[in-house]
Amino acid sequence: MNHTVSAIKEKLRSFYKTDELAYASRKATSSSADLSRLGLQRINNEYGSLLVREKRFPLDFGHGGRALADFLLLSHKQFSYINKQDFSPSLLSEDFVFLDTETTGLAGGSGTYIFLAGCGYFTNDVFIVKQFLLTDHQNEYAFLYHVATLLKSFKGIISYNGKSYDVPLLKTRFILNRLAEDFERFIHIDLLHCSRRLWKKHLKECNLGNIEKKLLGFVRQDDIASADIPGKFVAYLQTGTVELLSPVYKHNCIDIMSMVSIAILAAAAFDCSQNEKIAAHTDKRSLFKVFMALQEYDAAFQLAEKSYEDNDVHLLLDYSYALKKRGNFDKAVKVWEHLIAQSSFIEPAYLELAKYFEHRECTFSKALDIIDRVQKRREILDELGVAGEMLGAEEWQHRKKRVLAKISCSEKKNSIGKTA
Amino acid sequence: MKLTLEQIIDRLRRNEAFMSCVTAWQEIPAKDPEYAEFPAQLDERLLTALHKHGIHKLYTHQAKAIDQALNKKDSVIVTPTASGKTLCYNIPILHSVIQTQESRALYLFPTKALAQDQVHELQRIIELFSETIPFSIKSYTFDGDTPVSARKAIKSSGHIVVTNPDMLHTGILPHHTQWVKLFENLHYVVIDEIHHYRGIFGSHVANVLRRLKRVCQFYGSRPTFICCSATIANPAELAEQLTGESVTLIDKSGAPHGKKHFIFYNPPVVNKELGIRRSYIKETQRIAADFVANDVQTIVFARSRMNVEILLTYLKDTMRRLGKPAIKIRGYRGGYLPLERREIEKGLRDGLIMGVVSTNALELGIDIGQLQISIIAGYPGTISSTLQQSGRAGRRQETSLSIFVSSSSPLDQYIVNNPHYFFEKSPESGIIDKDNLLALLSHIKCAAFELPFAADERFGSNFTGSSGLDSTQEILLYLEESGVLHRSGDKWHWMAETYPAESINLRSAAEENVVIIDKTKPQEKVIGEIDLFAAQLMVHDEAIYLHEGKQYYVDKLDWQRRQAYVHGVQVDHYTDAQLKSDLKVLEVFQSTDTENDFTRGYGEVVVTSVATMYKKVKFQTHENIGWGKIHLPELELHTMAFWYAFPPNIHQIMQLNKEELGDGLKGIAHLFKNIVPLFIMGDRNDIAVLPMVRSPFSEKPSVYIWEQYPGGIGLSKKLFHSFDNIIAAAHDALETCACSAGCPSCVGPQLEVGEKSKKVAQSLLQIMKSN
Ligand SMILES: [Zn+2]
Repeated sequence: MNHTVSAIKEKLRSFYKTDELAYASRKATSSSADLSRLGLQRINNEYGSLLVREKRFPLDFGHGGRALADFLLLSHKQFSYINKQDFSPSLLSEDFVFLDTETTGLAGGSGTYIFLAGCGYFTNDVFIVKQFLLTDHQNEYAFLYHVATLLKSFKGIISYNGKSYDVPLLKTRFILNRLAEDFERFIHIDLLHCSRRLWKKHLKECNLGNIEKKLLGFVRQDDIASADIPGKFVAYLQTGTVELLSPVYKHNCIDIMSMVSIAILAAAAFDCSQNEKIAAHTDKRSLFKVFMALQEYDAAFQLAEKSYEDNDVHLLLDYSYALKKRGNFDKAVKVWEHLIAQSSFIEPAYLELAKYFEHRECTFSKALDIIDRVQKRREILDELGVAGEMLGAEEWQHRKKRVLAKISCSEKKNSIGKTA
Repeated sequence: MKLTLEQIIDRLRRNEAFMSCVTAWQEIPAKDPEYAEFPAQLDERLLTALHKHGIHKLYTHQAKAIDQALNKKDSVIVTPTASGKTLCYNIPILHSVIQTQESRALYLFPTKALAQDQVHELQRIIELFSETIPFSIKSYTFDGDTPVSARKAIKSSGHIVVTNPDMLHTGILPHHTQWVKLFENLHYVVIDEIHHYRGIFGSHVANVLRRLKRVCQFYGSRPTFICCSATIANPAELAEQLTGESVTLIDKSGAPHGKKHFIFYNPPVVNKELGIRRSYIKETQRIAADFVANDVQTIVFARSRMNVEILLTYLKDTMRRLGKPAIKIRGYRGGYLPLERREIEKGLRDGLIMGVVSTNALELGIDIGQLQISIIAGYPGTISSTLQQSGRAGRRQETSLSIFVSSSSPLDQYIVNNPHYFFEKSPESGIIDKDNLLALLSHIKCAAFELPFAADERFGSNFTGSSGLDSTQEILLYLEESGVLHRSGDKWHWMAETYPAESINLRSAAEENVVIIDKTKPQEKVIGEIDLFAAQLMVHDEAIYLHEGKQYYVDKLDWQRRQAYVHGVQVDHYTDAQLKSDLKVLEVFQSTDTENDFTRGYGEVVVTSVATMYKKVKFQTHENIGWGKIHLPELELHTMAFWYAFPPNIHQIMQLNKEELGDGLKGIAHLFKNIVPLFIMGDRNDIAVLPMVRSPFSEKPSVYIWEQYPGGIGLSKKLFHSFDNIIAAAHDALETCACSAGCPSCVGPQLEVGEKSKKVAQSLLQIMKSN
């Protein structure tokens, strides 16, 4: 049973009749002159070679309506807001590297390779975008080794969806190449999470393109579609033509620049007075929650006080609960009374007031009045058939009985007092 | 007055009508337990916990299995039902975890339900250690139902991860970097119920295990394999094929059992001319009713959900007639939760439950305790399943009874009439071909996705396949040419954007499947998937498709979109599609070639087939009650085939005309189709048989048996080497069939195969036997 290679291939082809990609012969690798024309440089280390592209931007360089320098002005506090996480005052803007990778597929798993790792960072009054390019799989170690060396000088990573995509993939590549790097040591700010918190309510879509269009005010021209990126690397491997990758590294560079602008923008969003356009797109309730989580109560309450005019019901409710928890009933009652004065039926506010009057102020008639109003509103909603899944009719009835009992009891007491 | 089991047995023996239907009555003598000490190196804390659990000594097979595992020797344990199989692997593995907290183990079960059942059992044992060891042993199932939120903890801290081969294939191996802790410290891999891993499923699983070993090697671990199997002819061979390691066979059980009576019962013939017998379901009802009426705990196994319902209704009625609560009879089907099972188990112990009627879901190792009588209504398909079902009866030292009630299907009739095949050594072999070209190609893709291939790497160490490939390199070259792999330096790397495991189904051969969609309810539901070759036969327009014992009518087969739309029905017939096939031999792998003699051979063939029409056939009587046309395109199948050829002048030797010879060949083809599965542990759909009065290849009268899977899975080779057994079995089947001149149970219905078929087939088989 001696089978020649061609016979086996013939056999395999008979199973798979689809026209699969023909494999073109490879061209010679580009000369160093070609490379430098493209802004690329070949680096050889003991493990192999890779291509590096470095672009420097002055600090006053503008992108998406912001100067890069604005990022350097961010305080540790602002980073805390962005990431909803407390950072130490020693944290500086320069401690972060912006990271974005391009890959051979979106499926994930150990067969997905990173072929471009773009890193953006500030140093000596300039912003550098350094992009490492994998020239061939056998050079993956050399490629990752350079990425690892660069990452060593930073404390934090800023990414867009890096928590679930870029970093796990990078970890996988490191493990497969037996390269040690403890990714847990990094502070990781994933701007996608922050964008969703702040803008999803108003923008719906939080992909980079939509944020650029709606908040940074630009639309990319001639940008490569994400789905076409893996194909470019395949074509490059087949032909050796580096130019084929230029749309990819341009795309990657813009991704990194936009991340800088988004970080600046997100920080600004926490100071609503600063920029009305951003304020209009930002979900105030999310800001409130971040402030509360970071125990910045003054900032949180100030923001909430201003939100009466926006009439953000959920934010006001959150605010009232926070006030109640801290024993500030005067202000809380003010919020609840504001809410029950509205035309829409905000039941939790009624409930809080009913509880307040019954248990705290012990003005049972006021409590009864609230309960009656609730029951009337529920009846109307019921008749209109819009009551939906409203629960708790029994609870309200129960509450009413109890309040009525308390009223009659105190009336008795009063009458006994009178006769005595 | 109620009778004891012994009295019932006695009464059966004196019942002439009953005895006239009995074709075999075997008495299997009681066996005393054989005990052995715990291996000396077992951890003290483990022993303390086991004592607390009431386990003070081991059966001999357990001790041997534990000893092998502790000494890192790969093994396969062949265990009868209720012989304490799980301790064979749980003890050494718990020992390993107690001693080295980092130690990890992976358990593979063929189904999710079994995996979940096993974790419940494990957790009960682990609880015993809560006081004696300073850390908690964590065992988890990991399958499609595992919530995403729980996965991270399982990956990093699960000591024992219990899963199925499909999940290992699509969910774990392609993401092995997330399982570093597991793979770096993987000491044991348990593969339970390996007799399920046969045929194409087994061929795939063997390749998944090759991938597992490759990943382990990357992380520097070498797990010990512990396999468990039901009784089959070749457990060690199968385990070695699956794991790629040589294994120790442990098949001498030390567990005790009481005396067992095993009866084969063939319902009486009611129409001799057509070979029609009384309904086996009705016979089962009658027999079982007598037992439950006497409060003897009985389990009845039926082949389909529908039959379970019929039997259940009837037995409940019987109870009511006798003035007993119907609740004493319970149904049991797949998908019952552990809690419900515990309840049935408790009911049986307390005597609140007298009868359980079950589909074969119970045969799969799930434990509901032991009963006194088991009745098997219809042959479950394999000897090992039959043994497992029969093993449900018989507790400790008490006498038990098993009755096999035969249906009229050819395989059932063969078994009931030839009981020695059953009671002597099992002829069923679990056969796989892990070097099936398509399986190999699929898994080399997956393996390349997981880790790049070294230029001189061989996929699997003992690489000698029936596909004729002797090197991994050819496949890698082919994949490079197709743009799937990229060679860089001395390695082949995955280059496609896709995730290969996703499109490879371990339980089917073809890459393309037809999805079956149930439209009975407004909410459509996918109930299954079958490959194209099976689809043309089973889900053509107007076919009756059987799925988990339920009948479905096929409203439309959309060939272009690979979808079949069905709705649930209840009818008294099934459909049998006729395939017009043509076969061309491409290459002869082995042959006993002599010019004018009886020859046999096997090799590679291409089969073109097109489904042309279907018959509607009535259950029980096999009566033809209608037919219809099928309009589907022709399919081409590259596979392996076995052939048997007669001398060109055989009709002269035997004084037959060509037509008679043709009818005889049709008859033996029908017999082979039904009997071959008995030897390959498969079902009738694994093979196809084609009789030819003059084969264009050999120019001789021939019978071809080909494998219904692209590339073949090793069945033809097996047939080539053991065809004598099949000739003998076919001959026995003909001799013992009660019909006068052919029936569906032997050569096929007379209307189709001709009146002389049985006679000619008999003499052909006779001459085959002596050649
Ligand atoms: Zn017959």
